[in-house]
Order: sequence, then C-alpha cells, then structure tokens
Amino acid sequence: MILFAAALSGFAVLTLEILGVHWLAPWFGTSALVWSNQIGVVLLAMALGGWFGGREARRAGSPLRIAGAALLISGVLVALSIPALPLLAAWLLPAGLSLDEAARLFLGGSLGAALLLFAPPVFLMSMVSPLLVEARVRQQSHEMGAADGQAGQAAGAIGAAGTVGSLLGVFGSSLLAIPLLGTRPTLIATAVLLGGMGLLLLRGGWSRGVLAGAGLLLLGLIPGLFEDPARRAHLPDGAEVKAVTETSLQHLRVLEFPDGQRWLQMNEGLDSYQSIWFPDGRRFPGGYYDLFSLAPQYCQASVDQAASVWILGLAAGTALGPLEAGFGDVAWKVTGVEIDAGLVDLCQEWMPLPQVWEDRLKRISGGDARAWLRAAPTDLDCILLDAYTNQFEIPLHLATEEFFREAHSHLRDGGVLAVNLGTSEASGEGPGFVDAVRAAVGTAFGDSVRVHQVPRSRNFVLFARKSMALPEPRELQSRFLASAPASLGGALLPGQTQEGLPTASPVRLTDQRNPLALEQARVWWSGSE
Amino acid sequence: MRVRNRAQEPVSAQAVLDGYARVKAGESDPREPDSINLFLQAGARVEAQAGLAARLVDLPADSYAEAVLVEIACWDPSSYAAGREAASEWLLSHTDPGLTGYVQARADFLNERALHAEDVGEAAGLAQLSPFLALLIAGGLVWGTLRMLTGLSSANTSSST
Repeated sequence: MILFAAALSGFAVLTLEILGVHWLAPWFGTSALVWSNQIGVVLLAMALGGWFGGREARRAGSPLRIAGAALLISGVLVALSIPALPLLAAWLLPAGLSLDEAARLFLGGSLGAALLLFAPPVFLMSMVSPLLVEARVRQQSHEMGAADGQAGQAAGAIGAAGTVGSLLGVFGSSLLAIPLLGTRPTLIATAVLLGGMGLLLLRGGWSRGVLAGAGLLLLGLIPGLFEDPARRAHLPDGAEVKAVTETSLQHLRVLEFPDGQRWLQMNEGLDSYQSIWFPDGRRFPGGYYDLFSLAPQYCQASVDQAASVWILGLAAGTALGPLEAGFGDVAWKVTGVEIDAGLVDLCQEWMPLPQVWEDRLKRISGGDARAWLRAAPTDLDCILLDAYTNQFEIPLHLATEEFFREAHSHLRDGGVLAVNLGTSEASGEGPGFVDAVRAAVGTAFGDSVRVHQVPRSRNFVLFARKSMALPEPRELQSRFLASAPASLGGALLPGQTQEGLPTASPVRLTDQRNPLALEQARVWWSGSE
Repeated sequence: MRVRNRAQEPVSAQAVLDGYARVKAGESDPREPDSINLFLQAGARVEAQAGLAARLVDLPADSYAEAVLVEIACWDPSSYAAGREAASEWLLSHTDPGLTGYVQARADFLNERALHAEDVGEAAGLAQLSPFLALLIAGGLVWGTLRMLTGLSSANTSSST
C-alpha cells in the first residue's frame, strides 16, 4: 500500500506537469515560456512540499493518515483546476485577442495560472514521499523491533516507487492518456485516483462528513467529462466549431465560417490558423499561401520532367493550391511531411483536398521534418518550409545554418527553398528576426535570396535559389501572373521586396547556438505594445 | 472620385506589374488615383504611399490622398494610433460626400481597435500582476491545508498517546 501510494504520487506529479501544459494550451498556448513556467512552478512546489513533508513526518502521530489527507486534498484541487482554468482565463484574457497582442498576456497569465492551479496540489503530493518513508520506517520497526539502519532502505524503496510512478506519468500521459482519453478526462481520472488512495490511507482518520464532502465533490466532476470548455476558447466571431481533437503534441480544432471556409487551429488559436480550406478548392487561398505559387516560377521547372516538391509542415495541404497555380502545365508531385499524425487524420476528414491534388501528394506523418528531409532525393525542384510550433515559433532546428545547408543539398541546381516567416516585425525596422533568417539561409545559398512581404500583413515569404539567380518578376510567366491575384503583384513590387543578404550583421542561427526563440519572443513582445 | 477600381474589374498580379512598369516609364502619373488605387488594391504600401506623398506636395490637404492614407494605416496595428488621428482630422476638415462614408468606416474600425487596445493594456497589467496574486492565494490555500493536516496530526498524536 505504501509503495503504491508513493508510485501514485510520483505518477500524479509528472502527469500534472505534462497535462497542466496541455490544459493551459487552448488559452495560453504551449510556447517555451509557458513550458518553462509550468516546469518551474512544479519543481518549486515539489521542493517546498518535500521539505514540509519531512518536517511534518517527524512529529506526525500517524504519517500514513497525513499522507492520505494530503493525497485526498490534492485530488480535490486537481479536480477543481478543471473548471477553474476557463474562469481564470476569461478574467485574464480579453475577447478578440489577436496573436500579436497575446504574447505579453500569456507569459504572466500562464505563470499565474500554474501557480494557482497546479502548485498547491503538487506541493501536497510532494509532501507524501517523506511521510511514507516515516510510515515505512515505523512499520518496519514495529514488525521487526529494530529502528536502526532502516531509514535508508525505506527512503530507497519509496524513492524507487515514486520514480517508477513518475515514469508511468511521463510516458502514460503523453503517449496514451492524452491521445486516447484527452486532457480533461485524464485530469479527472488522476483526481479520482488521488482521492481514492487518500481515502484508503485515511481509514477513518477524518470525520465522515469531510470525507463524504470530498467524495461528492469528486463525483460532481463527472459532468465535466462531457463538456469541453476548451472547445470554444478564443473563438473568432462568426465561427462554428466543427471538430476538436487532442494529440500528444497539441490541441486542434476545425472552425467553419458562414462563407464555408474552414480554419485549422492549434492550441490557443486566436485570430490565426495553421491551414485554411475553401469548399471550392481555389488555387489562391489568400495570405502568405499565395506567395508559395512563386516557388515553381522561380525554380523554372522543365516541362520535360515531372517536378518534385517537398513541403515541411504540410498540415491540411493548403500550399498545394498555389503550387498547382505556379506549376501551370508542368507535371509535378509533392511529398508532405507533417509531424502530427492526428492532425493529418483530422484534416483529411474536415479539409479534404481536391482529388487531382490528392493524386499528386504523398504524406509522411509522425516524424520530424529535418529527420525526414535527410531521406529526400537530392534533385528536388522546391522545398517549402511552413513548420510552426505555438502559432508563431519556427522550430529552432529548422532555422539554422546547418539545416539550410541540408535543404540546399537536397535541391537540384536552380531549385528553390521557400520559407514562411510569421512575425510582428514591421518591414524596415532594422536587423531582426527576418534578417537573422536571411543571413542563415545566405550561408548556404549565397546572395540568391529574396524576401517578399505579404501585403496587408506582417508575414514574409523568403525564397532562395541554388546556384542560380532568382528570376526577376518580369521573367515570370505572364499567363501565371494574369491568373494570380493583385496582392501577389503587390508582393513582387520593390517596396515589398528585400533582395540578397542583410547589410547589418544580425544574430547567427546555428545548431550549437540559436537565439531565435528569444528573438521571436522579443519581436512578438514589442509588436504587441 | 472613388477609391476602389473604377470599373470594379478584378485586378491581377500582371495588371499590378504592368501598372508599376508604366509609372516607372513615366507613361502613367503615380499621383493619379488610377495608379494609387491599383497599388492600394495590391496592398503595395510603399508604392501607394510614394504616389500619395507626391500628390500631397501638389495638392496639400487633398481629401482623396488623406482618405487613402487612413486606409493604409488600417493595414498594420503599429499605425492604428496615427490612422485614428488622421481619420478624425479628415472628418473635421473635409466634407467630400463621396469619401465621408469611406473614412467614417475606417474611423469606426480604428476607434474599435483603440478601445480593444485599452482592454488589452489593462489585461496585460492584470496578467503581469497575476503571478503575485496567484502566489498569495496558493500560499493561503497551502497554509490552510497545512493547518488542517497539522490538526489531523495532533488529533492522531493525542489519540495514540
């Protein structure tokens, strides 16, 4: 019983650490700062809880019952965190929040939420281990009549059980519980387990009224299994939620607007989307996607041979429309890499591609883009990089000089790399995020680099061509340009275009040292003020 | 005078590039609404602003140019404050019936964003304060629980002695 209780508290602490971030995600996102807040809060609560638990163990008449009470109360607190988070988020985050306004609210807000909702239960769970050690020592003393030399053995056994529980918590929550049950049911199950174990250890140590109250509170949470408040978090005006799913990586939902367009959103969503879908299967869906149509034009693919494209960060495959427009009469095929297999399933159901595009596409899901790119042919015509975590963070390992050299090595001469750069940085602000990426790309591609600002937005799309100069806009096919929207023409004008490498020396982005996360955070933070 | 394309025909990327080439070749006047409207529809901020700046040199306080500048300010959150001021000034100093509704709509949008920005500013203050509030509440919660556990411990001790 004692070892099982130790394992359960270890399991619950790690489960809460991981599930906590998943539970925060629909409101506060899962940026590196949110993760840091959560891990920091949990470690602080563990340290304090362990210390208080040790102090209490020394003077406790029945350490097992104290441990039971701590587990019971922590179960109730975990259960209460489920309805409390949406209320807290509604208080802290105003309606209609946009992505570039959100950064400075999320940092403090997620820390406040983690401290309030997760620190107290983790503190109580961490008290349990020293109490159980004390209980075990006393139990063994009682059974064997010898007190000396058993504390170390008891601490080792309790520590080992707690660590095994923690292991189960880490892998069980990420790999099984979240994808199979979902965050909220797993939190409820954890609360029930904690409460149940607490009651077992208490064995009448508290009045029946208190225990009945705790039991009723836990039972009262059962309706929470059927209502998901995260479903409607930060819902844009006019949007209807069509589908919601949780994968081990992220919280996903598909929204539909009155005109039929659908958005794929991850985590906090806000006013942005990971993919956009129109029922008419249009080739130019708008925004930065339209500029991906320039990649086939810039690489000047031959009509004699099928062109080959890799998309890193496929999501729903929105980029296929612009590619279709850009290739025109050239035959082409595409391999799309998407790290989240659950996302692919959701998109195929709710954002299906026209059959002609589907026929061109080979999906690779469930693996990292950089790892998969190593398996790509070395004569690609285009590589499109549209990989994001937490809405606005380019994964660090996909924005380094080494990665861009790898991408360069997989392109044929004249092949083109296109990168979507989402930032709140305004054009011409001086060396910053976009310049840092331009310079990193330049280490592989030389000065054959061009960045177009997406009209009426702060997104940029970077193009780099291997061993050849990028064609001038006047060299693009007139038939293509005649079918492309005006905004694409606007992006091609000099005012929205930056040629070559930056003149000022920005930060270097390498595998060894990549300050991009800080740079992105700085840009978003300053952009929101 | 209309800000949108007169013929309301869809404008393509090719038309934008052709229009720009005509301006560069001196065949088309960048100060004229046709050029400015083309760049406006293309979202080509720099080229549109260049034409507007040249126009305002020749026609200071031109209602059309100032209305378009309000529109461009709506494209980027960093220029909302300046755009709101420009819209308010435009509505006070111009009476062009063809453009009043156009500017008023943008002024309404910018006013709504300004109110929202105030909400966000207040929320940011609250969010920055929230860790301290949360620490206080969590501390109180833990303190109360420890008192309860200590009480249980004392009860157990006394019952066991």
